[in-house]
Amino acid sequence: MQPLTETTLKPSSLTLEQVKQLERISRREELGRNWYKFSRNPISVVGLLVVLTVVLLAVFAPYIAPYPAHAGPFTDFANAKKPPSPTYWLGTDQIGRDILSRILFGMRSSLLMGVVVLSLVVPPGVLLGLLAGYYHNTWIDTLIMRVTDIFLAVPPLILALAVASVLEPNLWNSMMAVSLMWWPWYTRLVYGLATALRNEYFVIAAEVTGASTAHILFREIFPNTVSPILTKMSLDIAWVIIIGSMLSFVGLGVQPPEPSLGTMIADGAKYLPDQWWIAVFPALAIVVIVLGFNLLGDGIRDMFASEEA
Amino acid sequence: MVSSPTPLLEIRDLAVNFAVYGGELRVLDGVNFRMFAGERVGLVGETGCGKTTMMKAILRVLPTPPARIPRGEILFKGKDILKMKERELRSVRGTGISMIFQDPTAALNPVFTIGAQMHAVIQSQAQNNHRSIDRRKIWQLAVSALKDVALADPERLLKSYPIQLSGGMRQRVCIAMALSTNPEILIADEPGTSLDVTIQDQILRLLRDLVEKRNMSVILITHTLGVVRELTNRVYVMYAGSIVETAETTKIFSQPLHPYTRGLIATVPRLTGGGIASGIPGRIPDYRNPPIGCRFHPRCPHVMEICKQQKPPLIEVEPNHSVACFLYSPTPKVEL
Amino acid sequence: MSMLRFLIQRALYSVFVLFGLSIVIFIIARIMPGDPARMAVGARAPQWVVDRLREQMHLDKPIAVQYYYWLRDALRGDFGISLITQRPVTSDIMETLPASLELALYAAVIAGVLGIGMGILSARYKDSWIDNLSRLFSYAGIVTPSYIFAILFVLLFGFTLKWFPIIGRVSEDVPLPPKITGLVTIDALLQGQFSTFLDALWHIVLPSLSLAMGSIAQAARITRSSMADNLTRDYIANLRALGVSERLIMSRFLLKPSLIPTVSILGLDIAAILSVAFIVESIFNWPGMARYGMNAMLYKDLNAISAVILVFGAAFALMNILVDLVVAYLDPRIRLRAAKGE
Repeated sequence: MQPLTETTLKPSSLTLEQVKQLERISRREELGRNWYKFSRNPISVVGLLVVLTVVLLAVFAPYIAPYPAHAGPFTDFANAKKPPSPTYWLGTDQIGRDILSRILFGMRSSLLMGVVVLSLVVPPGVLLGLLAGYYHNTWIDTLIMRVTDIFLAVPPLILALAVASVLEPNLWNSMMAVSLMWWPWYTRLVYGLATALRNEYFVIAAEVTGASTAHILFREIFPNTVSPILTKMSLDIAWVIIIGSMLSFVGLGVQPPEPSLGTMIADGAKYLPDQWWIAVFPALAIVVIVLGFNLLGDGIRDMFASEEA
Repeated sequence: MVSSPTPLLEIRDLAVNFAVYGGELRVLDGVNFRMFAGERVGLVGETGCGKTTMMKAILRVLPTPPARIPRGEILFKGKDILKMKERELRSVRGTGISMIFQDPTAALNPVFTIGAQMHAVIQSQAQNNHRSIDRRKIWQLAVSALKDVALADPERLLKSYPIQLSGGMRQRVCIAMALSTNPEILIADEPGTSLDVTIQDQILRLLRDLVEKRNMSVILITHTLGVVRELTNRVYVMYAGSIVETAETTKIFSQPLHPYTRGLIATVPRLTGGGIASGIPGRIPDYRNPPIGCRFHPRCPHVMEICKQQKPPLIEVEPNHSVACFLYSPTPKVEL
Repeated sequence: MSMLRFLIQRALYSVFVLFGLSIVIFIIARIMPGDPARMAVGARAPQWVVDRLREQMHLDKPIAVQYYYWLRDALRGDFGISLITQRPVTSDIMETLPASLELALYAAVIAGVLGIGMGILSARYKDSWIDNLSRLFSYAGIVTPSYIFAILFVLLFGFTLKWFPIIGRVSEDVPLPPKITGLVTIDALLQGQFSTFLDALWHIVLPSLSLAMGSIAQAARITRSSMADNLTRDYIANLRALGVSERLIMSRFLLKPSLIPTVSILGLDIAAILSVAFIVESIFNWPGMARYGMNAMLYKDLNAISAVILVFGAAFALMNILVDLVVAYLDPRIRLRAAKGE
């Protein structure tokens, strides 16, 4: 078969199948180009590596951690508050548990929190934003956006804390609490994009050819909002992890003996400055995770931003 | 025409590159240019051929980065502007050479009043020339500069923000600012192009009157040849970052030599003669990978083998008429 | 004049938003399992006491009626009795709010001065070691939560170097100045107690700096990039071309337009500082409202929780309006558009 390129074909002679094939080619090319741009920036690549490392460490924590049992209800008062040593690389905590092992397991709940919250938040947030933006200046827009404004009226952390405080404190409820307060940010982001996109020719063209509303929302408007959404997601995951750590810091998140970075820092803070390692290493772990996601997010943003250059 | 042995402004082999994602745009590629006191020079060429870049380079106001000047000299009264320190440079800017920017909306700071911006210019001019000046005097000068460009109610204008003015008024304000420094050379970058035709006409007439009254040297950038014929006495034709031809204005119209110039003049609609000419096929090349040799060769109807290999130098083929094209090269053509 | 209309519109919308927020808070407070009346009196109180309290708290009525009573009382400034302190929530808030405000005020000043200053230096000496250092610092500031900074500062400046005190608003042997504004440093100054002022200032450095770190970084980053952006604009080239000095262009004609995005983001950042302050306030034993609110949450003190969130919402709304005002002051385009009523 003759190779299918954009120059060998005249637009008028294209069949639907060929159009789709062309779209696939250009999409693959775009993906390659984006990856090329992304990989040219060493900082984004470092971010990606940090994130990958953290994810791998968290996933394989049970096999990597030197003392997996220390992630549970375990006490060894003889070895409590030991400084870093070859036996305990990062020292032990106030009841003799290996801090390295607990950090590895703690990263699991941090990452789980980030992933679960975003997957709960993004679909409804985006859907509402698409609806409100497409039905701009109708009652649907008014209703959705006014409710969104109310949720945006206070910083999300404080409402999340309030919800978490009335629920049973545990990891799942803290995820629920944060999710409940996070969707409006996506609604507002997508709303702004969708109100602009609804006047674009390709949307109007779809309307006059009688495409269904669902088609217009998801096949015409939505694909054009993906890059800002992805950028926001990669930066937000870091935020969710920080907020999760704050919830567990105050005791409204993961409950002991289950390890979480926030709880470890809160407990360790009581032993400052003499047993500094109890608080400092979990804190470092959070900083590294958040740094990784931020670098990655910036890389993704630059990759999409330099499109025109 | 007043002509003296040293040119007022001379540019030698000026190159400007712009850094972009994954490479460099070679926007100016060895520009040569020369003007004497009292001359009114037109610089013509298609949009994107580097006219504005060249003018900004003269005053060293190209943003660096992304811009970079790898080679060349810009001599103002024999001194290289590119080698000047800030103090010396400032004494050339304004008093020596001043510039009316192409887009008056972009050239006025949106968050300051017209008065604040003119104040800064007039005060800096006094400082650069070691004169002392007080606020009242500055205000008076600003008012009279606005009056000179036929703007009504200058006191109120000085207290306004750019957004409160019409496009034509902004253009006049920019002219007033550029003239308030009493420059020896005035650069006018496509004055009035962003405005509608009647206002553009008014602006050009105003500019001509002011220039004549003050007897300034002028570089007028435009892609409208009619304007060139009316306002200038010498023309430089630019294509893709180099000067391809220069001659006195009447000569350019009566006897264009470079194929590009001929094409350009053929595009001017004539009242007599048969209809609108076809223009030049093709468009300005990609500056990332410009054509090797003469940058015009892919569009040239008379292209030869040598054009694809060597860049033709700008050579004086008769007194005051130079062209950069191998068709007129006095050296025998090299067969390669 | 129409600037006033713009302000009134913004204020009215904030009232609507706060009203909506009150409904959300009320719903959150009511989804809690358990009987608020029983919780208020304790497990050992006889049933008739609980029943009477239920009646008093209108808990026997439909939820909409309950909301009506709650809102009516809230509008009168009555948020009920706090479970923890057994005092009216309103007076608890009046007592703790100034401490939080003082903290936020200092954090805002630090963030504004250091953040914008760093941004300007970075833009001025772009790609020099100053710029690189400040960008590195910005990154650290953005990725590190404020409570980690608090712990770090306590460890470094409190314990190790002993430069700053780490507990409370003033030293133990220093009496608090008589209350005028409730902001200790300002009250001390107003009454000429200079040593108290210095002592209080000394105490507020570490907590406010911990809170400000993120905003410093954010402000530096935005100022730098918007200055770099505006530097390539024609309005800068125009002034340069007409002989205006670099110094004047940088300090005046480049700075003002570049500060607009910084101000809008910094303003909201500072409003958010108030609400994330709870861990920092606990670490430094700072008697502020965020710490009070967190304790309320830990003890399920619903009256206090609702009041604290509403106060945060109001502060956020006020800050939003303030930011709009400052931006309108900096940017005549917004001012004039508002004047035209667009």
